[in-house]
Amino acid sequence: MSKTIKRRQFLAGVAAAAPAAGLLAATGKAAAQTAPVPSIPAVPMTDRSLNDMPPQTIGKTGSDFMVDVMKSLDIDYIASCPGSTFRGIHESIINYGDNKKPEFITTLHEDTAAAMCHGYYKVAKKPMACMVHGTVGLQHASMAIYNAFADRVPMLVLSGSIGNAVTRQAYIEWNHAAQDQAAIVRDITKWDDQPTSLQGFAESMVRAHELMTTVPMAPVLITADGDLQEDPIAPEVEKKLRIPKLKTRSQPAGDLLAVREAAKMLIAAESPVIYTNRYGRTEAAPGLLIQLAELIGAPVVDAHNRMNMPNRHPLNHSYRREAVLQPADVILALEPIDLFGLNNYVPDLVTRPNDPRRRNPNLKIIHIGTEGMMAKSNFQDFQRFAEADLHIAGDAEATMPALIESLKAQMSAADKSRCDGRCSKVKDQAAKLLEQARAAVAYEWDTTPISSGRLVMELWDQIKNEDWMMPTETQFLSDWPYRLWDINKPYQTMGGSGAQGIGYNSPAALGAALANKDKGRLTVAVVGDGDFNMAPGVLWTAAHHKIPILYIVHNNRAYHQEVMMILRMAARRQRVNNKNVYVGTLIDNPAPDYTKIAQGYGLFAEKPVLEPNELAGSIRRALDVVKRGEPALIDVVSDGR
Amino acid sequence: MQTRQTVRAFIGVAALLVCGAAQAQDVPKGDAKAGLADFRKFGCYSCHGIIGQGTLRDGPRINAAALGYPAILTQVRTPRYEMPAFTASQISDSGVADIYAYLSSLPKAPDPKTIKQLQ
Repeated sequence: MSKTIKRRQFLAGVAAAAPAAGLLAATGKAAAQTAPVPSIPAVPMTDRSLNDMPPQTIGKTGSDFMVDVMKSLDIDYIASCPGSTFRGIHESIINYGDNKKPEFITTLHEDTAAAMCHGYYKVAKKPMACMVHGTVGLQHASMAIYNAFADRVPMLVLSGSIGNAVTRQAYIEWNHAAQDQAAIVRDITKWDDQPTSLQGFAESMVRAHELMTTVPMAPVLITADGDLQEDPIAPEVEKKLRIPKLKTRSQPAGDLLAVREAAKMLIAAESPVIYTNRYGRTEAAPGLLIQLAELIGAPVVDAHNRMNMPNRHPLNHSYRREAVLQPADVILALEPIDLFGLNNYVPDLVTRPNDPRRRNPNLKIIHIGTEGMMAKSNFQDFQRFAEADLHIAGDAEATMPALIESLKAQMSAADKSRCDGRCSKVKDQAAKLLEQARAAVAYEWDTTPISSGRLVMELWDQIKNEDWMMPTETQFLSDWPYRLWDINKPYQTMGGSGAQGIGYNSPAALGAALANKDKGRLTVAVVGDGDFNMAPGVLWTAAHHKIPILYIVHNNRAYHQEVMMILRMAARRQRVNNKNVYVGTLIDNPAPDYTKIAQGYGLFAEKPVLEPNELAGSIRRALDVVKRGEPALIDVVSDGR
Repeated sequence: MQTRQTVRAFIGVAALLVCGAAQAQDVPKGDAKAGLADFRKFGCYSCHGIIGQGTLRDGPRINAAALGYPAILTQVRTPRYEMPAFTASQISDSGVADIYAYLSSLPKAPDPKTIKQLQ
């Protein structure tokens, strides 16, 4: 055997074959098991000689230290499907780290691993990590990373790469290495690094944690060098290693002078409105928003990208949006995401004309948010440019206490009386919203295929007395939960995907369920069949790790949004009668049987539900399973919306 | 599509409703069974729901006499908002009347107060 044989080939032989013992003796290295660990350079400049290598790693390895770093960051879970570029860290997590903090969550796709981090953060309010294979795994994960980036949600993405060309095995390890693999996701992450020493790794990880959890939040990527992971730590290096202490950072709040000006404008307003979208960052957010709205007597329009405000609060006028926005003379927009879209619309008509909304000619807009603080050039999630009369760059929730205090300080007794009077009037206007929604859902109560309203309300009937949480999006369910449920806890919803990348709901819901499991909450997720089919393997992860969650597949047997889109295109072009008009938009013929898919992955699932009267029993039996700590799935054959 | 669009659509539908009521005497007799087939064939169900019950963002309720026949015909031929137009070469007036007959034949919605799950 050549003395220039690569280290991995050699060690692999030791582990796999008995003749390796003879080999060890022949090379005179058998005693190395008890000998001091030789000092080796972390990144050799030349090929390592076989004689330089110990037969086994004794003592602490680089990846053991990396796990020490992860533990210092209080990361509870790391989701991953295994990959050789991070095998050192993998082994250290489960053995050296005793598979605790972080616990290894096995997924069947990297996109699932990253999307779980997205959902987990939105419930736990602390980051989760995912670990993805060099180049290939990172590309798999990139869609979910983009969703999280667009949703301004942090996650720690760890990856591996063997940076040194002379220690890579032929073929595969070259395909899984990159000179700059972070380039794959640099446009959709806040920061990345590829440290070349263990001390550098520790500092980069702590820096990454601080950056990703400081508004504007976003995913970060750390690439751990393969040799750095697997090599033993030289004693003289180990004693110098130090993990920086993670300190909590305050979030950037708006400038106090500007906040005072905003308060002045709100007090002077005759018809103020609060618009909110990605505002709720912590569980304190809804309470602060209610305080503000009641103080100035303003209706709130909530676009639901976070848990911003209880839906039945009488100042929540989300479903009277235009009725309250049209007369408004001041709109306070809190993390609106799309400030242009608040007052403009581009209808889906031939030529896509711009359609400015009818607004009070004296309207003033106050914008508080961080949307512009991490704008990048390539992906266009920054939306169309919009003007405001007062822009306050800062996290809206962090700015809220100062705004409330400033309002209280500036309001006269007459102002207070005027705002109180307006508050009562606005509250009265919301009184009929719930009754209107109930009347609307009654129209679809007995339809077959089962309507979204029936599905949602049969579910509500059985969870309303539980400590529940619903992590999934509702726009394809006619927003029935927001219109009819009583959503009053600051954790019961969490908004949407961010970038509307399909395949978010099922894995993000599982991440949320993982966080809810630790809090003893019941997780109910209604996912579309199109979304579900992007990541069905998530069911196995739920079953394997015993993560309690009820999945209900809203199975309309189509990419229904696209059914509507293509029908619209065809009608516009006078081709709606064409026999091919449904080509490419249906998930039918054969219709997938999600019950069997779920059973195959080890979940409780009964036969598909076809009739509305079968729903209640099906939900009850599935919830019994979930309450025992296991996942369950119900396939509900449904109307399109 | 945004909620505000739907709000506008409902305002437009209300206007059409008034128009329809004024011309109720002009309603031709349609074939509800053929109307159901056309309701599906032309994809009306995709935005308005399988029985025309309406959806929040995509199409307002059109069943249970929400609209008169003239209003429906006007909307089909010269739609307001984002609904595509359907010319007479695609669906005749009598075809629209069939759809109207189908929508009119549907039973009234139950009183929500009688539905336990809505309380």
